[in-house]
Amino acid sequence: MRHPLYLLYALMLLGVMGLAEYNGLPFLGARTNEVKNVPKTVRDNPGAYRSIYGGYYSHYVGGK
Amino acid sequence: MSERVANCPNCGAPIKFLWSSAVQTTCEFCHSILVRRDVDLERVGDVADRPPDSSPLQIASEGIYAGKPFVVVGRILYEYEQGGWNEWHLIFNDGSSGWLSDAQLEYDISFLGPAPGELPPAGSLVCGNKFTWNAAEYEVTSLTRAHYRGVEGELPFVYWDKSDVLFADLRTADGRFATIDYSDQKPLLFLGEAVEFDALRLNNLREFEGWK
Amino acid sequence: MTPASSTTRIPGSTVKGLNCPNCGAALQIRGFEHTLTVVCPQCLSVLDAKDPNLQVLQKFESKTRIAPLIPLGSRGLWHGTVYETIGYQQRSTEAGGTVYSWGEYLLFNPYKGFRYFTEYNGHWNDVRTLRALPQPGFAIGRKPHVNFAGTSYTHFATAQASTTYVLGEFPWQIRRGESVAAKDYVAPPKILSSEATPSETVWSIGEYVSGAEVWQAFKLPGAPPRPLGVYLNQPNPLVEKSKGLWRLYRIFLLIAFALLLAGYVFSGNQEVFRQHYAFAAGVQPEASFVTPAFDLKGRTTNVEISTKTDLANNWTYFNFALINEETGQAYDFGREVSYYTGRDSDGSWSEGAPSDTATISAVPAGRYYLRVEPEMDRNSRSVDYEIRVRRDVPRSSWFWFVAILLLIPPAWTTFRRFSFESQRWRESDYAPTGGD
Repeated sequence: MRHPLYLLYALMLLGVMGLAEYNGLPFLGARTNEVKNVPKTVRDNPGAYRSIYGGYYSHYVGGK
Repeated sequence: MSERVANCPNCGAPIKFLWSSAVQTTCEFCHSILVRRDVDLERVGDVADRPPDSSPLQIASEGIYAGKPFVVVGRILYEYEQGGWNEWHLIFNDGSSGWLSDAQLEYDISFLGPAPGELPPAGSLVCGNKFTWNAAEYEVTSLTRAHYRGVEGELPFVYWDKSDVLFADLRTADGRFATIDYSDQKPLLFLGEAVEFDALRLNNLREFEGWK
Repeated sequence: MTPASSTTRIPGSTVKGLNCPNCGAALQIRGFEHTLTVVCPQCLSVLDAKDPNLQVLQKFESKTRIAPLIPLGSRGLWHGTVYETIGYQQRSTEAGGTVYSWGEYLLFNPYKGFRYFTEYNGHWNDVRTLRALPQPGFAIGRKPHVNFAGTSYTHFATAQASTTYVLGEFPWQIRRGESVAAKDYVAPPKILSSEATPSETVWSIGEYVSGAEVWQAFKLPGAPPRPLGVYLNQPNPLVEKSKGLWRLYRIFLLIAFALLLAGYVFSGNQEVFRQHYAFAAGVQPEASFVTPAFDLKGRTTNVEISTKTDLANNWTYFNFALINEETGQAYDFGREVSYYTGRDSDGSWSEGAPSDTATISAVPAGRYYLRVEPEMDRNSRSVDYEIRVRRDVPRSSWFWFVAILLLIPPAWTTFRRFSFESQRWRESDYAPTGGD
């Protein structure tokens, strides 16, 4: 087989592209912070939302 | 090719002709040059001691050109300032006559043809002159002043003891070859092509010491 | 006339016991009657081989001796024929103050004739006399061309070639110091050369061969000299490779394009939410609000949130959080939208854009809502905007990314291929720094 390295390289790139296409991965997606355990009360009181919930900071941090 | 047997008028050795239209031949025993006059042979001269040469061809060598088999029946050895070459006389199976030139083992085949138009006078030629014959453009590649150094075997015309003669060699883009022979008052044109040794399928050649 | 005996043997040399008249060294003639000049291996005098006394034609002054790479007398099997090396000469030419020398080997077979090997810096050529005439062709660019047997040959160089050293035998009159005007035309791996003397022009045709082939043919010991640089008619080793890579590239590009199309065809691209809003800083007590909930369906894939504003010479910063109503998982991000326009001496200009699109990856299916908190300059006028949320949007960026990255190997090979050619032509009459 001629050019085995190029073939490998192309298969890798096309593989990545295929996966990205399948998973709907954007090429340059928005950077998001994933925040867990947002309480249901935010639905009624959006002002109370804090971008730090759960995870390491599972307790209330910040000002009053 | 009918074989006619005659006797050398000088030494009586049997002379066998390979070619019915031979005009001149040589007696290999007494080295006489014999010219055929009707039925008899006339001795016209002596072959000067032929210098040794290394053409692989010899009388009775055989080969094929353009699908027609041929036999080598005679030759003329020319010499000039830079060296020499052989013109081997070939007879084809249909009785026609041709020439195989061997110059430093470069082979050119040519056939005497009717001159297509007027041939240029000897004095006018320079290397690079171009002529168109039979829809091909020939260019003069060499002009050689040569003299006869020897003859052997059967030749189609009386050919001996001539002084310096001009030969003009011409070639085309695709390997065709022509030569103008200025030995007679009327220059003769020979047309042919360059050939490779392998293409001629030669056999019955000379052997060389140290070579298979 | 009796025909000659079926075969006659030509002796190895016509005169037994040849000795150099100058130094007495024993001579050997390998070329039979074809040899016109022979060089004494001991005193290097050039002798007339046709003279029974071997008259000295030229004496050798210098002290330097050269040993040919193929020793004289070596026999080799070349293209089915056995050849013997019977002569060697070194020729030189001068270009730009530098003297370039190369070796020429005369090979002989008593039936097939002569051929020549030339060698320069490890590059070898197999050369034969051409008994046909190359025809002048159209000049392409600055370079003249000649055509032969359907191939066009490009002029490479015209130079005066002088014989500087001779060894062995030659079928012509050779002298040290004689020179000819030589023109070379190339169509790699072939080369056409013409050598002109006042009485005739002789053409020869050569083909580039590797040192390994020569060494194998002559069963020479050791290894051939390594080739240096690029030779006139050396074939470009990258032509095939570059063609192959570009051919593969076209195939891969097609595959990538197919993936792109599949992405477009199979993406849902479903609009799940669209709403108009307005915001003015400082007017409402609480800037943040939440949208009604919407469903994101299907497999875990992307979500696109676009914001279209009527901003003019202003900016708004939007804090977004896409929150899963059931799991409490949120995707928190901020987008600045700014748009400025104006006119100056160069014409109208603009900076930024009035709309923005953010794509979030790997959002699992579920029921979601958006929490939005805009920020603006306290004193600026209000902004009207529309938020649009789409699920499973296609995008073309991956295709361009892959298409460009895949381009690198064939493009690099093509660069190297042309680099080889420019190295080749550096030695020609057409080198940019002015050859010759």
